Amino acid sequence: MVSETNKNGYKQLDPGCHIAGGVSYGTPLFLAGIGELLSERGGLVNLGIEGMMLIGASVGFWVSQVLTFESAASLLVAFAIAMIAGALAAGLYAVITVGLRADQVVTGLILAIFGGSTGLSTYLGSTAHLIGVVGHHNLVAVGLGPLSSLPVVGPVLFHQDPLVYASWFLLLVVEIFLGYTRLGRITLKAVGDNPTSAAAMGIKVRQVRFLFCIAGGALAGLGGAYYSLRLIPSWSNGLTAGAGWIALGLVIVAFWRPILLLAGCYLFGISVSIGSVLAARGITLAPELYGVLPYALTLIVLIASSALLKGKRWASAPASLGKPYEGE
Amino acid sequence: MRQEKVSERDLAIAMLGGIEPVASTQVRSAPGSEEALVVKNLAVRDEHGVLRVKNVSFSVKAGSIVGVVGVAGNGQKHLTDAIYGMCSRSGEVYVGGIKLAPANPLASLKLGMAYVPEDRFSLGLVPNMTVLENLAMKKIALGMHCTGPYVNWAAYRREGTRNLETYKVEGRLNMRVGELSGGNAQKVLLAREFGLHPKVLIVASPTRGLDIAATRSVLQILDDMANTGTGILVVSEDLDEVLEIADEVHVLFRGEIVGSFTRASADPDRIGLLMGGSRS
Amino acid sequence: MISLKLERRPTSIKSVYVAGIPVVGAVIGLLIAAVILAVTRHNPFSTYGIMLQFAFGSLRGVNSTLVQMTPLLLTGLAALVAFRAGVYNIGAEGQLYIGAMSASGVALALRGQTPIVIIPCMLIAGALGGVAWALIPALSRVLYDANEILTTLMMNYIGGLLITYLIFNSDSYWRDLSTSFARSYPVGKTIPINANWPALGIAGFTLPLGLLVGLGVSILVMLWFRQGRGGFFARVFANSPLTAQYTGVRTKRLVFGIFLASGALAGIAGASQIGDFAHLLDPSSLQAAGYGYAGILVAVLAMLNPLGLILSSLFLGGLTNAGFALEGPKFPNGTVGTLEGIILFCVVGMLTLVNYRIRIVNQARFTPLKASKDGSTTAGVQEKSTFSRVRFFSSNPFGKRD
Repeated sequence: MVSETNKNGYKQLDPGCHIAGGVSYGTPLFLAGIGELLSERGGLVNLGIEGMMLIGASVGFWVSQVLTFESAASLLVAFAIAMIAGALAAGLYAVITVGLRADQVVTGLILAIFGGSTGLSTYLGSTAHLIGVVGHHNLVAVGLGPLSSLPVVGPVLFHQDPLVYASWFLLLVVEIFLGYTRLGRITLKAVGDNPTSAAAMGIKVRQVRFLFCIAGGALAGLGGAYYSLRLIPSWSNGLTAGAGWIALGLVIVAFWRPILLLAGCYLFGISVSIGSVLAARGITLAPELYGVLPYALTLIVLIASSALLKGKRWASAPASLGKPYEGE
Repeated sequence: MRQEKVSERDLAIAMLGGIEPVASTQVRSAPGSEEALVVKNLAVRDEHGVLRVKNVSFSVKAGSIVGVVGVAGNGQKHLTDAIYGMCSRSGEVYVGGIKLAPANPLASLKLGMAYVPEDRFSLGLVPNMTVLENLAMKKIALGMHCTGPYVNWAAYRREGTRNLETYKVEGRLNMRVGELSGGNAQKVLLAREFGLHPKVLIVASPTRGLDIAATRSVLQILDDMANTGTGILVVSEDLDEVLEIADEVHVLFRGEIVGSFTRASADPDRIGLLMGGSRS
Repeated sequence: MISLKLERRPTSIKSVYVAGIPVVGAVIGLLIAAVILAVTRHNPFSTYGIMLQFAFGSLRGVNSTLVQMTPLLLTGLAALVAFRAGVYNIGAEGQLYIGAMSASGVALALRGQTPIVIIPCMLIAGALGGVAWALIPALSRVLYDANEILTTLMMNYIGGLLITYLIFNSDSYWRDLSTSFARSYPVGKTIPINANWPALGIAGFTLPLGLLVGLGVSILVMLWFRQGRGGFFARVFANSPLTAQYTGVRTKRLVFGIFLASGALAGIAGASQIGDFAHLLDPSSLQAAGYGYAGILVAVLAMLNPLGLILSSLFLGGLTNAGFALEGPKFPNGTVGTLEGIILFCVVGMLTLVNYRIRIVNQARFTPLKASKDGSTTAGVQEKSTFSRVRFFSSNPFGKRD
């Protein structure tokens, strides 16, 4: 289930601006992460993110290879279909966990394997002969005019690809949704914290959980497609190299708050691209060291946050997370 | 029966075919003997840091029943949990004269403290496990009938069968505890706790949710236990049941003891007022 | 309107049926996969026939199935022991890597010793390696209530990178630098012949030492859970951590001990990979195989029953074996995972039947209460006292525990 990070990825980004690179690296994590955040706020913890991302990556790449419109349209369709694929995978998971009351952890793991590097995504990649092929359409960074020439902020904020900008918009939408809409603020919270009470209030708990789980899957698929259509960009088995698992951790480290998630994803992305920067400056350390850094960082933050914030209310998970919803 | 002529007591008698008062009007066998439980300056904070029990002190003599009454939410659960060791506390607790370490259920067990909690099915018992296993649980933790890692289930089976008979539990040893009625489950709990031959037994809301027959049984069981020398602490919201069996009653309000009465001086109206918070 | 409803069973299901559930689930999964095969223009009968033949049809097939079964049995045990106590150790993968690393290191260091010395040392080294890798997640769980799913997961990645580093990007002790070929194409040092683990040959079947260890441990684990004091505590704890604490069980020690035991088992799986099969540290194939994760699935398939584990690891071992044989021009890579996924989804779905039953409900048009087929009325939510024969993870992994 682990494959080496594709070294080609480093070449696509300007090594001089590793922050910009970090933003780019962090974006798929954020996309998948925000999806998982929504799903978890509803009470479903989907460990199969990695599988869903890989499915999205392979499907997205395949669609973009097949389509012959001009790049923007093709990519749009490719991303859309990747989202649908992710949503379908999440739908399967939701049917089994919400409908059949199966255990979420186990089902999520199965999903991760089913879609993962020994499963469906690889199957698709082999069948459609996607491995190592040059992508027909790639997402590229778009400068926002004069803004992108601003000293530090320019390249970071205003010279990114459209999906990065879309992810910021997504952050805004989600924050507004969670803070100000009835569905986000009351319904979702009720379902996540106390489904029995929510049901007593008349909320259709199962439908809500279903909905947010599928939304999570769609976003995971989108995040995965970002890898194959932008970051690397090509397809190989297990392309995402554990990004789904990292996103899972980042959601928790962000205490289920979207803004913190964004920050965490970008920090993580920066730590990944530091390797290429140092290499460009002539400091060559074993690639594994850079590879280790993100995971070690996540581990340390996980342990530290548990140690320091033990039991504090604002740092705790949605109360029904992981528990099957019983009753009608 | 016509409604205006019938009292609650008459109704109960009609339902049960006869009602006997819990024999606590008899003089207790050994009052004034050693202190089974001494609580001094107990203070308990909940998980958010809020002080829920403030400076509570009382004692329970061996063979006597002490009641603590209060409206739910005034700290009873924290009180009983803390004394037994399910959460941390400050202050001192002595069982049979020996100081008890806080937040350590095993230590409490070893010193001879038993606890029948309010949450029968979520704390006291494991619904998915059998009656036999639930009865044996604490003793296995104490290492009884065990040689190293091997558990002598045959011995526990014998004990269990005896317990079911003694306490008239309707159920078999290999039934899941979750399938028992509330009353029978409570009897299983009492059987287990008393089987430890404890110096002090803490019971929280002993008859909550039980029907009349079960309530009488349970109160009688508690009274019998006291007569064998165990000190009993009953913490409850139900003033009537406490007044039936307790020798002393304390009133808990907002985590503090606001009044203490002996059986003789217990006036339900005054106690009720204190439970509600009036300061007279 | 007639609809199907899932409702909780009021009484527990008969034990006889419980064992049948994963089997039925697997069969359903195979049927679904057969349909997919047919749709993609492969003949399901011949496909399954080939797979069966490959996995179990010949002596050589069976022996290679046993080769696949060995690591699955051991990592399955690691998962079983942990999950049955409510400890979600997903880190068997990393613990396996480090176990392999320690075992091969010890084997290389003890070059020249007799097998009686080397092999037990390798076993112990493997176990200790797994324990070491489980230590950080175990401590952080016990001391800080840190979520072990994520911590063990991170350790997996770190472990994978570590062994990759040892062979591919360093001149470490583990790396074979003796020939110029080896210097250009990184490969691990082969362990001495004395360190190769023996295998038991019975009637043509070859049972590797790792497999024998696994079988023995399975029986021990079964006895421990059924009879043993610690096993009893683990059961209580898995059902309700709070009640376990109340009962006087030393929950922190329990969790810690079980966590480390689980790590040790995964470490032994790693040692077995070195001693039984590869005879050198091969990071790429270990990582590609994913035995640690597969072990979790094997444990699930067996419904966390040690004896069932033997069967399920045999089944999955055969499936993997046959699947890899199948993968080639006609069946692309990824077939194995997809097939396994389908079967496992079906099994997991079937597991619902342990606790729920399907009811055909006839909703009469104008009454507010729901009437079921036999005329009794059901209303409202079931009371909170729950029963289930097998509950994997009754405790909430993301909430307060211990």
